[in-house]
Amino acid sequence: MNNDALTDRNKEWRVKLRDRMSLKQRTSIPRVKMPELDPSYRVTTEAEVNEGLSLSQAVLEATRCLDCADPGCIKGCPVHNDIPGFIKNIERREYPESIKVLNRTTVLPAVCGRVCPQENQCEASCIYVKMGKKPVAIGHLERFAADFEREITGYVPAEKCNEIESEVDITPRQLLPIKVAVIGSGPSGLSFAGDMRMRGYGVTVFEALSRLGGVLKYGIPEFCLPNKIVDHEISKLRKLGVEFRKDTFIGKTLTYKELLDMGFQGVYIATGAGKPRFMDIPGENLPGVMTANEYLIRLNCLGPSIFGINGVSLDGKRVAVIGGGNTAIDAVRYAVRQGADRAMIIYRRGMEEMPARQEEIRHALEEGVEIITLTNPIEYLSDDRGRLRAMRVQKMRLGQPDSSGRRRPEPIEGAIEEMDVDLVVESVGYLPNPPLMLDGVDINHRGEIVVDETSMKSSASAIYAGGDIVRGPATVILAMGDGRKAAASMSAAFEKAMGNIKL
Amino acid sequence: MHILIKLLNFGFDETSYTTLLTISEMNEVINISPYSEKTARIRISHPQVAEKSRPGQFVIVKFDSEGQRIPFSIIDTYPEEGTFDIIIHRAAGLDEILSNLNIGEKIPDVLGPLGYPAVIEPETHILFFGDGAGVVPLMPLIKAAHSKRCKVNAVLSEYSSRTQCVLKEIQRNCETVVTVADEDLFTTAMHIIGEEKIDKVFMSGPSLLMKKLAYETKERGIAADCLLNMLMIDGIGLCGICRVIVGGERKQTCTDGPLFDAHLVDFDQLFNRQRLFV
Repeated sequence: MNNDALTDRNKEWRVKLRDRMSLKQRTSIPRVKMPELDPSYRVTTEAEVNEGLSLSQAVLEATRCLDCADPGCIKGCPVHNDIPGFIKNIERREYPESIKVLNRTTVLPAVCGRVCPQENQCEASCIYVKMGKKPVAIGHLERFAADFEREITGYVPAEKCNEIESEVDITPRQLLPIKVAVIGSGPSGLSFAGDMRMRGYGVTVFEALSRLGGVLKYGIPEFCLPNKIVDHEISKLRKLGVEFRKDTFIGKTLTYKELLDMGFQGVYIATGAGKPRFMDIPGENLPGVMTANEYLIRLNCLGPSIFGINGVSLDGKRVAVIGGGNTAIDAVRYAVRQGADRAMIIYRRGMEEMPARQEEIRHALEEGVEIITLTNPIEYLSDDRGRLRAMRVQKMRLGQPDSSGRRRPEPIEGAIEEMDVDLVVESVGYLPNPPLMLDGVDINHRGEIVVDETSMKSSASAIYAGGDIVRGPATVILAMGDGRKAAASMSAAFEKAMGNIKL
Repeated sequence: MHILIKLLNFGFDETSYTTLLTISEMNEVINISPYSEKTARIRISHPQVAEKSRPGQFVIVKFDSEGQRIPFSIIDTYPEEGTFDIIIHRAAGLDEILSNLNIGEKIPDVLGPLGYPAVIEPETHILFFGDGAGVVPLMPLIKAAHSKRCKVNAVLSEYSSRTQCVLKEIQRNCETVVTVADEDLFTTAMHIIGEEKIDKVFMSGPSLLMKKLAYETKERGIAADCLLNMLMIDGIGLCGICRVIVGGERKQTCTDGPLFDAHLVDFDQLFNRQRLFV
């Protein structure tokens, strides 16, 4: 497979490139710094904070990559992108070739380059880390490759992307007379759809909401991941011939059985985990306490006008976001942009234990977010008009490590304080979106679909599942990895079945 | 893989991948019947909703691709034509939508049917209470009860029954319809509950009235369902804005409702949320 001009490590161009510079020269180059909007400006806009690398920055950063014979980064990547392969194409300034390498394994390079936790995945396995240096900025380079292509080919405008009719441009493989259905248009569903279409299957993606992209649209804010970039990635899938059907809630609008009756021979369930978890403490139903989902969906998709009587803007308001994950950081940074007077993260563990990406935390701090750790709300208090006024918080300290390996927070007896707040956004985790009217599929006590981990097949025939509906709330890239795995095993099963056909 | 493709070429023609549903037939405004200055009945084509919807379920409609997602009760369905009806009230802040809507137009987004249907036992005696905008969502339930040979009575507030078309349609399916001034609704309701043997009550209206009715029916041991009218965003259970406490448990109106056992609903909390949200 790795015997082609683009990615073969032993091709002449690549060998030459390696010999161009010594290891010492390469390792002496400092890691690139992503150009960012100035914090004082970016809090006034929803523009993307990271501006992207320039051509010369990208080439220089690509030069740092040592093109290891046994690259750890590929193993660290859930979709196994050929990382040195695309980076070396950047180094030799063949930018369009670099994205071709990525397109083989990922359908969302522009997205992953922006929102993947590279520090725990590919970059964590980089040889530079072993040398005690900062790893190659793989994420920034991936983003560069994808952005370069998009800037050349041009954006597909959002309104075009939402058109129902698809325009079939190129057929990647000869079309097989087999069609499969994908439930959910989030990262897992998209990656499955792309892989199956590349293998020649007919693919239809069903989405319950009116916009395609799932969490990429509804969950991740514009300043981290602009919607037009998601639209562009989806339009690439459309061009491959993937069909999309929005406003179709499987289980309500159509049932799983009907899908099979319609001739879909395989179903991939990627409905995600978007059902909000609550703190379950008194006062949670007061107006002024909302879930991160409510807050982010409103801001991402409806604009602040929906706030209605509940507050037209957050000007001068004190906003407390409960939780320490990426969603919490997204929400609190949105609050800053909405003009909040105080935008606070309230987290029950310490700074070290926060699951959010490092870059996001740093951005938040630069933007004036207060991060209050070792603090946990225990009650929301109302004023005499029945609105949220304040919250009582319990101060915590860290005890012994728990099952997650992080030190368990314990309440400090008597250390209870009251904090004045105008809006509380709870971001304390998600539960799986339960599939409706789905018989014969084993679901565990957490509500997740049980699958065979190597094939992603559920206990029911023809039904596969992956992403957050299987693993609980996780990352975009892990969900995409599941999609690839499921596509590989489903197509292998079809091939096996077809191989047994005797004429 | 290549072998496989060869095999398929031998066995099949190159099958073209056809669209599974006739999309062109969906989301079109088929008819607009103005009921009054304030109210109009809209017929929309959507074969799945028409076929699957049961009384009590609703749709979420986006009339403008950048606009709000608004829930509407499904009033009637015509499965053979592939259409269903909703009723729009101008008073609900929907003036602009109603005046911009034309027959033949395509609505960008229609999602449904959502929620769970009402449970109506055949041949029982059912009493419906409706106040204000709460009357319209009762219409499909009244019709369903009538078709199940139930004895149907309704007490409606005078204001809401001023829309003659709505009232006439309700009257067609009821044994008696009493319309009373808004402030008398509760006492009239109590009077009827006191006089007749009633199997089930359906109520739809302001939370405070429903709270009182829920209390009285519970005292008398009469089953009662309330139909909640909550603000919704996604309608598929993601945002939690329509959450309500029922029997001590958190439920979402969009995915668990819109009908709940009125005896178990925490109306105080509901009222507090609605008052400041809508």
